[in-house]
Amino acid sequence: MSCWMSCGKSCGKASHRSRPRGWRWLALAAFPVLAACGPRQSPGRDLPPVPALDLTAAEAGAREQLEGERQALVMLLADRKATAPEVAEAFGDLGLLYITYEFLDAAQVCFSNASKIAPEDYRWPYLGAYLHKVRGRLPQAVEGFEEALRGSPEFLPARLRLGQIRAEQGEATLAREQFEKALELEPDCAPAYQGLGELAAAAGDDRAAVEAYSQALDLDPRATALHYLLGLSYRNLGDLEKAQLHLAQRGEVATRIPDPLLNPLASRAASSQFYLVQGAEALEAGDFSGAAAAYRQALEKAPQTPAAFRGLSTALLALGDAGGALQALEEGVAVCLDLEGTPPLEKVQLLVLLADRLEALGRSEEALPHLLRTLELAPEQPLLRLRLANALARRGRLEEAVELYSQLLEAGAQSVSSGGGSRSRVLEKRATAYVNLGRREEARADFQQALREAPEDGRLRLRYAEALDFLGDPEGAREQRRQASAQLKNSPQRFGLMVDSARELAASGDLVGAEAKLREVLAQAPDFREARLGLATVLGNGGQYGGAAEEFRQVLGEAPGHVAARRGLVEALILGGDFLGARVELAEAVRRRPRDLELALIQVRLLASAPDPRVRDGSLAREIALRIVEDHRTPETLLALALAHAEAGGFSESLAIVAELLESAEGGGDAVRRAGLEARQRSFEVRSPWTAASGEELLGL
Amino acid sequence: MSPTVSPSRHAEGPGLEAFRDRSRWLARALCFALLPLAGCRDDGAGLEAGRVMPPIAFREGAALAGLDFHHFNGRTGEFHMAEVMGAGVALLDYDGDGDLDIFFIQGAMLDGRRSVSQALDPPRHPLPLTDRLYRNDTVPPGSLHFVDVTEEAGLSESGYGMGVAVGDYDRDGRPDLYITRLGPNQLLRNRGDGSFEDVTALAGVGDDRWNVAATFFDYDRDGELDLFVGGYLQYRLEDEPECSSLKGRRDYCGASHFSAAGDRLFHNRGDGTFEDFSARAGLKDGFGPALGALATDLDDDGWPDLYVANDAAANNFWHNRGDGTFEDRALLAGLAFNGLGRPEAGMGVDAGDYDNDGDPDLFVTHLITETDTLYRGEGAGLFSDRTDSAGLGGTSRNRTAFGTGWADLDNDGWLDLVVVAGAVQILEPLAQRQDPFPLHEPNHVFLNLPGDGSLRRFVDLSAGAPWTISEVSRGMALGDLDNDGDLDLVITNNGGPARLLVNEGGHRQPWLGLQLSWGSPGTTPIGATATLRRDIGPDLHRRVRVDGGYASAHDPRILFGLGEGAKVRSLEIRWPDGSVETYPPPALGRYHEIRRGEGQGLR
Repeated sequence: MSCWMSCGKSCGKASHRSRPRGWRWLALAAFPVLAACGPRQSPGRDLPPVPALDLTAAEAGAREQLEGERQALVMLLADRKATAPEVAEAFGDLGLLYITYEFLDAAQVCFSNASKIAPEDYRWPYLGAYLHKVRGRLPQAVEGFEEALRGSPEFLPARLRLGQIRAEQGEATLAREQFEKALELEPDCAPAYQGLGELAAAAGDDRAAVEAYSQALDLDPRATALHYLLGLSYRNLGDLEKAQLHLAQRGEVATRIPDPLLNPLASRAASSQFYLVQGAEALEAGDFSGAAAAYRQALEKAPQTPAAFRGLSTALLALGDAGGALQALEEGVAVCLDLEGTPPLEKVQLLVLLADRLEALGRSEEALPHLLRTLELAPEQPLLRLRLANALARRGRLEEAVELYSQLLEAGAQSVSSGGGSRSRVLEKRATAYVNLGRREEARADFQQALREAPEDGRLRLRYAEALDFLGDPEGAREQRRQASAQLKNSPQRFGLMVDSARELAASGDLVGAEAKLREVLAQAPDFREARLGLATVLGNGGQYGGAAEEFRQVLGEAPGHVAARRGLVEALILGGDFLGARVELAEAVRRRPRDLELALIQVRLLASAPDPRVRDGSLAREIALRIVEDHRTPETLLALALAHAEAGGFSESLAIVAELLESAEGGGDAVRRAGLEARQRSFEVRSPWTAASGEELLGL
Repeated sequence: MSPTVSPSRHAEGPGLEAFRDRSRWLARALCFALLPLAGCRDDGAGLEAGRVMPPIAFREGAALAGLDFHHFNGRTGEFHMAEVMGAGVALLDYDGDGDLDIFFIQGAMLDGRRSVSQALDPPRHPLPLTDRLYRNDTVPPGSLHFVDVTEEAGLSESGYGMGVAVGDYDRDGRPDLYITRLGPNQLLRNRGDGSFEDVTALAGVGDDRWNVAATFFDYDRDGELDLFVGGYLQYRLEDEPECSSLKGRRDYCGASHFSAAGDRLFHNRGDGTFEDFSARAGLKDGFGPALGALATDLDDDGWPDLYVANDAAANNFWHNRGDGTFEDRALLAGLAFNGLGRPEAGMGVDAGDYDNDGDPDLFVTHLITETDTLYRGEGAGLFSDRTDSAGLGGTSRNRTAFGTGWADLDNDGWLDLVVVAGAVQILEPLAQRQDPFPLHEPNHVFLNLPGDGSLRRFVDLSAGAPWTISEVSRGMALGDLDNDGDLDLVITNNGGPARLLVNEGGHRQPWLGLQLSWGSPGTTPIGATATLRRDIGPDLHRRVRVDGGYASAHDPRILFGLGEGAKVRSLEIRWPDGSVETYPPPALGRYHEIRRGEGQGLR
């Protein structure tokens, strides 16, 4: 039984809220009649007034909602026939709405009034206490939660929150008492175990903490924040391997207090702004599904919000839905572009994002009109002009590009640099366009001017040398190269050229030559990361996995956040057969890029089918695979899930998935794929998890 | 390594003596909180001329002392995020006369296309606006007195200021200034004649991004002060989105709308110039939007490490490997996130040994709804979040804090805590009251209550003046401005006047001050630590710290409060190069210059 179910049982009074919402308007309409009916006063007459809020800045929907609910309360207060529970309920309703929009002072008054009118109802002191807790007023919060528990001793959220406050106050015994009572009410309550774990950790008993956190994690495997707590407790116990493993899996999802009063709040908001903020927060936390849902809600409330289209697109792209991401932007442009009152900058951001996405999809011709439109909207923005010019040049529309570059240069140095570029770079761009147009003298003049403005720029000089070659001036080119070489001596640019040359050697199959060139660079510039990465890759491709791993490790020593190096290291370890090392590195890689599908799939395959049994962990593999499939249901992810189920003992689930995959592969021409699926099917039929034959298979190579 | 509390010890509870001690202090704290109402009396050291003295008492005295600095934020109602982030303050003895002078960082118009007349709050200083220097002209034992010497110091218009670091980078015995800005930073060399010169380009420490935190420290222990500059955000006014609050009110954007700018480490070549060693040192990746930074040896290996508090991202604990490179160990150290594994919006940070167990503890200030976080040092570079058990969690969720510092304000031998606050997004209750600048919040001071080392708790003493002043505080510098043996505070307020909080009680307890110097001419050995052994109570460990807090620089001297009746047994100094010397017990009640090489047993 889940924690949530227990709360449901103990929240009987929440049924007060099931009264049809239209009743207040009935009361409003009847007010003049009722007011004349007798001397009885409404129960809320002598209470502190709920402050009238300044809602001028609020969106129309939110304003209407807040004012409507408040007005309904005012009318009810004037209603002599209104009963105490009804008035308390109305105060409570308004208070909850105020919490939704974070008008906390006003909400506090509401709950306080509701408590006074209906002191027997545990909900009002509970909600008041919750607000006190949020605002750091711990003694008042304790008082409120205790009052709520006197009214309803089985109301689990109050017990859990009271336990948390007692822990914050350093009252470990009182806190433990609350968490233990919570577990008596609901033995499967993850937040209670987490609370007990924190108390144990604070008292230095990390062994007990590990036990409690592990219980909590078993009950709520999505609460990835528990890995952090476990990691630090293992660290304190001196078990660094387990500490690293858990820290690498750390996330930000906490155990959730099941709260039938507060959890449904978000769905009450009528403002798009509310959902925009929610979406941004979800994006920030890496919760892309949550972000997409929030932005969709925002658009439902206000369908003409550019920021919501942008956010939705970003969330969808992160979820791997490139088509949906593009569609969101296209819809946004269609809906918002001609709207009056929308700031031009917002429209420009939408257009630029759309153009970027189109270009990334190789549809740069379609991107151009959008970039052109940005210039109409914000002609004073040099960066937009530069983007458009570059896009035109890339599409071969050189004359138009030249015109825009010229406009930028005529507008002056300040304009160019305020757009994030430099004048010499714009001159170089125009010169390149001139070269391609065959306008030799103008090209030469621009390059020379650019070099006068940036005489130390060896890269620019090399570019000029290339142009001179192209323009048929080999002698001039040689001279520029000589100067560039002197300027670039021991500079990253020169080493960059050597790395480029090594790359070409490697591409032509000369791995030995490439390795020698890269080692030459590293001998002179040991910190030149591109060379070290190149060397690692060349070694890996040559089957020297140990050497490759060593080089990747060196890069990571300097740059722990280097994604390609981390991935390279994982692959080198797997290919070299060090599956244990790979598991640790992979966990770190996934922690750093929790939404990287490819890494997550490798992790599942490793945990589910690595040749080294010490590495395998079916339940963790299944947990990760289920999360992946939730967002990305593809044959590849489903197969990974099948492997994970099998490793966890769920052979019937595995077989069902493989059967589904075989069915969908029916008629397809990929015989190898079918054979692979059938081999796995046979293995699962005899209740044997799949073991990858090699690192290559594990990586899907 | 600090002693851990075994469950059995914990179960027994504190001993009788400790309980008595604690109850006495609690009573005094309560008394202070109720002072204006109840007229509490105390039978301890707090009685003076029939007046009840609280354990920590401050008086606001900026105007009286001639400090008329007023920060200009240049806001125009367009809610540019940068306009609510500054600015800091530095305490330094720029003229070498033995007392602390004050250097304030000033703002400007953010948008160059707008004139000062378009600002919502007009500037209170003559145009062009510039950072301002106030010379301490106090004649002891008279009241504090400062004179604005900005013009004669040669300080001129310089841009939108954020923070300041102090260090004698050229080892001429005079403190120099590094100023961080939204735009080009500046290195101002102290000429020694009362004026400064801009040597940014010459020294090669220019940085035109948005920086707030900076700290001088000698990371390679070659005797030359290197410079760390924290990068905040990649921010351009033109690209700033329009942000709104949940209620639809136009509001300031948060850091999440921008990318981190990246940190820089400048290596001091020893010839007045620096070289950018960021990549070589391994600081080019893994950084976040830095707002707070400090350098100290967090893992007791003799090499100064770096701690960087990042805004809404994992913090960095750059462990100094001793070979010129750094490695981020924040995650395993327990310093990357709060105790629940969540990143917080790090603003200010300070390191100090609040439990007197010999290793540094960190305190980091954060945004409203987050706690300010206490990371207790467990030894060997490992830390645990002890915010709640120290009693620092509760109220901190209800404010946005910036400047902070550990300081033994009552000279009882235990470090107390100062936190200055001011929101970065509109506080709705203030907006509802039509407040013209609805970000202001009161500041806080926390008294370190005696108890078992690992169970120490703090109590908030921020009742009554001057703690009821509600402003948008940012920077805070700690220093003994009147040289009377207790720490005073200078607080900067965004768009508001600077505050001078004069400590009126600390010096009543025994104290001694140290001005450490090494080399010729004598220069301040940033990072040196002093250990004072007493006949009663644990040893006291303090470091020469200038950095930390938010965008500010503290008094470089060390001030030991000894606690009632304690006597000094010995003094040990660990110099930044790793050498250690022992000195005979210095006399109490005054400052002493302690020079390297003049102690015993240099090793």
